[in-house]
Amino acid sequence: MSDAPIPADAAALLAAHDRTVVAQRPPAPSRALIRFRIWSAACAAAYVVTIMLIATTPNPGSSVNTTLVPVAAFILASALATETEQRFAVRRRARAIVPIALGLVAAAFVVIFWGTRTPAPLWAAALFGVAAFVALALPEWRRLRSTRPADDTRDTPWRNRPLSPETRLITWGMAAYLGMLLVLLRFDGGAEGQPLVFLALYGPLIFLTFVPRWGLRRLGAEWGPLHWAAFGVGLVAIMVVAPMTHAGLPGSDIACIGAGIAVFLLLGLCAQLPLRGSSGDPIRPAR
Amino acid sequence: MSAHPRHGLDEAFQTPVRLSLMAMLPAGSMIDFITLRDTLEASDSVLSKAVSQLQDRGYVKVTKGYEGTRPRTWVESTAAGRRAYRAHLAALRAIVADYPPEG
Repeated sequence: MSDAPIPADAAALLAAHDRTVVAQRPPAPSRALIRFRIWSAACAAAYVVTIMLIATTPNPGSSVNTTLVPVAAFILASALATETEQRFAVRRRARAIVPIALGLVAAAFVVIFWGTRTPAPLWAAALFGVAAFVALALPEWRRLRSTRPADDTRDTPWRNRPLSPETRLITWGMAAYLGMLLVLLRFDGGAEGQPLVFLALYGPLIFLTFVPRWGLRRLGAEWGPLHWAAFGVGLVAIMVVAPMTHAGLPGSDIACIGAGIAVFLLLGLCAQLPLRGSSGDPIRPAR
Repeated sequence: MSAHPRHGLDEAFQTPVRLSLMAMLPAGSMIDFITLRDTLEASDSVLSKAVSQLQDRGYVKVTKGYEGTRPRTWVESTAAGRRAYRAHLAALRAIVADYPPEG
């Protein structure tokens, strides 16, 4: 190197470096992002339990939709989480090793019970769900304890604000989609009706994921805790009603339709809240 | 005779902005352009140039995304970048090791 610094220059460079390190130690994600990741961990754990229960419960008379609907719901939640994380200025890459290990253990669990033709006991699936949640959420929980309120100032505050008109409309669409997923759990169109079911399941999902102007990107940027709570209720309803329907429990027909209508109305109502003119700056419509 | 520590310096980190930029990017962290700019107190153009130069050497990775419909850019360090940065820092420290303190 021809123009290597003399010691004084090197000292100045080191001083500039140290000032940066002190000003930004550590470059931590905001607590809102960490809480959101804990929410996502709960969602993933619930999904694994649902799939384990469905996969190990033999019920030849049941519709294939009891498997397809939770898969669609999980893809939707994952895609929405990915878009939502973009609102945070500092992010930590999640390590892939834990989800991979959990996936392998869950697959082994399913193979064992499926191979022995015995339904997995609920307690075993629930225990695995709790273990999965702890494994996924514990690193985030530790991180939450080490962050400071000052780390939150980089991001737009995450609170309930009136949604832009476009996002309201998309939220209503999302409400209709979740409601439809719940009703589809009981729909059995036979071989002729299956293409229609696929279209209903995955058409809106593809549209929401790949059409930026009318997709999940807007929801991720604008939804506040209220909207996330309502969306969470919808996911929980799917994760609970799908195994019930698959097992053919009495009352599952009513549960599908009732939960579908309730989730549609709940998320639709939340799309209108908070009302315009209430506290909080309205969200600037994105161009 | 051992080589002078200056041989361990990396030209990519010879400016305070590029050196400080790497200091903000530990393994696994993705930081958006605006946060980097504000913390480093650099202009958009200076930071953009610094990021491009480090990107060309494979020391940082740039990811484009959107917050809603507003574009956003995230920067993260690569393993090669962190290795080069640590070596550069060690060389700088070795150079200043015997420098007399002020006063």
